[in-house]
Amino acid sequence: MRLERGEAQRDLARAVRCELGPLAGPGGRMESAEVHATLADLDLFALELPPAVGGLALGLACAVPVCEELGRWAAPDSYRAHALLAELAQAAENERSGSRTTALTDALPLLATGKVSAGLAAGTGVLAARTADGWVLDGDCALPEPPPDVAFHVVPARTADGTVLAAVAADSSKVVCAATRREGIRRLSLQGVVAQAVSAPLHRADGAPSPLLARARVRQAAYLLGLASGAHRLAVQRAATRRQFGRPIGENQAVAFPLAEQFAHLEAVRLLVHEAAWDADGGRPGAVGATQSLAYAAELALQVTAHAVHVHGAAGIGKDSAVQGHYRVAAVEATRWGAPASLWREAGALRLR
Amino acid sequence: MDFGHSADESHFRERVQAELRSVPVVAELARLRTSGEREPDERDLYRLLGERGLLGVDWPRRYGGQGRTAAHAAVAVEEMMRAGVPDTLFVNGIQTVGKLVLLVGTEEQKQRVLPELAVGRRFASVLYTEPEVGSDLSALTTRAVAVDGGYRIDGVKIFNLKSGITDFGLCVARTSLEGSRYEGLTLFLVDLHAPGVHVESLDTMADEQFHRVELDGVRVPATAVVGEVGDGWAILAEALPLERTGFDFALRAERWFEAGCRDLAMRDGADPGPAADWLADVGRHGAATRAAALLAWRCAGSADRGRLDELRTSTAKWYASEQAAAAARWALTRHGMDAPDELAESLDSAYREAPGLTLAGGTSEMMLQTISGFLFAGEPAGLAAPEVD
Repeated sequence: MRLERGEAQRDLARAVRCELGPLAGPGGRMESAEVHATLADLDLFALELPPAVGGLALGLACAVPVCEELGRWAAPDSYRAHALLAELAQAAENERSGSRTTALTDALPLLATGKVSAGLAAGTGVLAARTADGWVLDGDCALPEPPPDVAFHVVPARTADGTVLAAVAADSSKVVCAATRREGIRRLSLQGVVAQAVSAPLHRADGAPSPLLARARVRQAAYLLGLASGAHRLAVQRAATRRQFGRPIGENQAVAFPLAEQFAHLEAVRLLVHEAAWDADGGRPGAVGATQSLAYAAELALQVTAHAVHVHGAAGIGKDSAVQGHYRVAAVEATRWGAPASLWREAGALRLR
Repeated sequence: MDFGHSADESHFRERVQAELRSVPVVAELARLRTSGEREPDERDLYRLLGERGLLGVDWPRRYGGQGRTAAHAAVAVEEMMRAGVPDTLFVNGIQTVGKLVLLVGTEEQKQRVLPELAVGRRFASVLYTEPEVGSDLSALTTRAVAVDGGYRIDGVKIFNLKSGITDFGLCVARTSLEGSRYEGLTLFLVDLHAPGVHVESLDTMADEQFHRVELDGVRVPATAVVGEVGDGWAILAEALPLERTGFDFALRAERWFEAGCRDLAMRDGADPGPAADWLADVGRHGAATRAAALLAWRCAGSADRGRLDELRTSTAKWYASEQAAAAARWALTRHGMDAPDELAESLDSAYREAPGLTLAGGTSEMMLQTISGFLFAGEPAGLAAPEVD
């Protein structure tokens, strides 16, 4: 085993970090349009796509450091939704398990350049029914803040065979996107919307996640790992510089030791996430690895970001504090693919099969 | 990152497995398992392992080793522990004493000591702590006074393992009272059969017993000094990570996690029934057990590139020992009191062993102190820090 990041992984992480840094405004906030443009400038939307549609085919192992860096800055990124849309479009064709419209076919080369972007919805409120026109979607779901000028939404939808992912055109008159009372979350209402592409069920009959879902889980785990790592870094910096009772608060073991424990957990999750990506790229069985990585990363992100706010004291609660941004993003991202407790049960069941 | 093993490592693993399936080794393992003793004497088993080249795997051939890499050595440890080989003689004698001699010993010491350890002809234990000293080795009081041709050592060493059956001990003693408490410490290889050595066992709740070793005017030659006189503290700081790769703990976690999962197997699509309550625990312990193994393997990679990284070894040791202890507690409670006899016995043994894991080889608090020292070293950088590892 060589459990060091490869040169390509390091270079990607450095490049993303270097370009994202200047985008951070007051309180570390970033504009999603700027993040999207930066990723496009770096050619990162081509990262996982096949050469046939202008992609670099570098694999999930190279997407992991990118997602991790985005999480580190709690960046409102469009990478994960974008990668999922591209895979959904390809899988719909390759597996012939669903359908893909001309609009999405035309969009594929544009996906590689970032000229087409996607939102990623969550929830269980959308039903999909097969009709003569194709798959038709009805219902509501939650949509965490999408990038501007979004062309497609990727929506989870229930069918008789299980939950699938469907792509819908954002500009359809039958798609209504409205604000909710929760900041950063929109409500997506679909009424008789014909899907542009539909995936195979996200879980097979034996309960194992589909390759599409497994890869999405690995990207999400990497983002959450980065989110937790960023908050942890802010907490360490705060503990080293904030003086109380005549010394840095980090000199107290009650402050230092939980941060040390979290460091060990972050290292543990990083290895699990990279192993899951390595398995996925190599076509090895990866259901357990992807699921446990996401469960662990989600739980850790919730814990570490909350603790990081605590280490900052009252100053951490202020809106101009970067760490509160990480904490609030964790609330959305840690549950995007299900609650950690449910993911742990799934990981356990997969292990016992 | 590459999570696979090289063809050579995989081939070596097959060879190790074949050796561990050989008739004499299987018979000796069975004898130990059914001996009825709490701590049967494992030396005959180690002689068989030594004859098969499984002890000094990554030591140079000229010192009785196999000249392979740390990764090969890790493969051998994994397979030996999975086969049920008790590992204390290995961890203390080979990984700690042997590696330290390899690191700082004289050429004469390497030629004298290492080949005998590698073939399982002689065995070593670690004589560090003393009554009231605990983890703070700078507080130890055992004295080594220079006499004609060597040193005379007086003091008491406690809580050491296997000293009742080992041939020599790596002993740290104070050779000077000048300077700070961190100065004047020296390491010695002490013949445990020498006049003045009194070994007494101390009963513990675990299967393995502690020992109290009294050194009463024990004479050792000058050639028994390991490293430079007075350099003991610095050598220990460098050597302690050798026993903190986390492999032994990660493998315990693996064994006890698997024991906890026994009888929980699910069929595809079947109703999990009573197992459902345990699924999240299986997921959590499974993930942490795998992570412990990966953290240990990362240390093996560091070892192959030169020196072990103290941050990584402390992280691996803390994580793996905590996980092993947690897995032992979980496995015992998962099965309850009506587990089949053999399983109940092994789970009870694991439960009794578990508290020692977060103490042995550096307490969890010492590991966290080391990790936090790295975290706060210098002026911790913000999110834009250039380093990505």
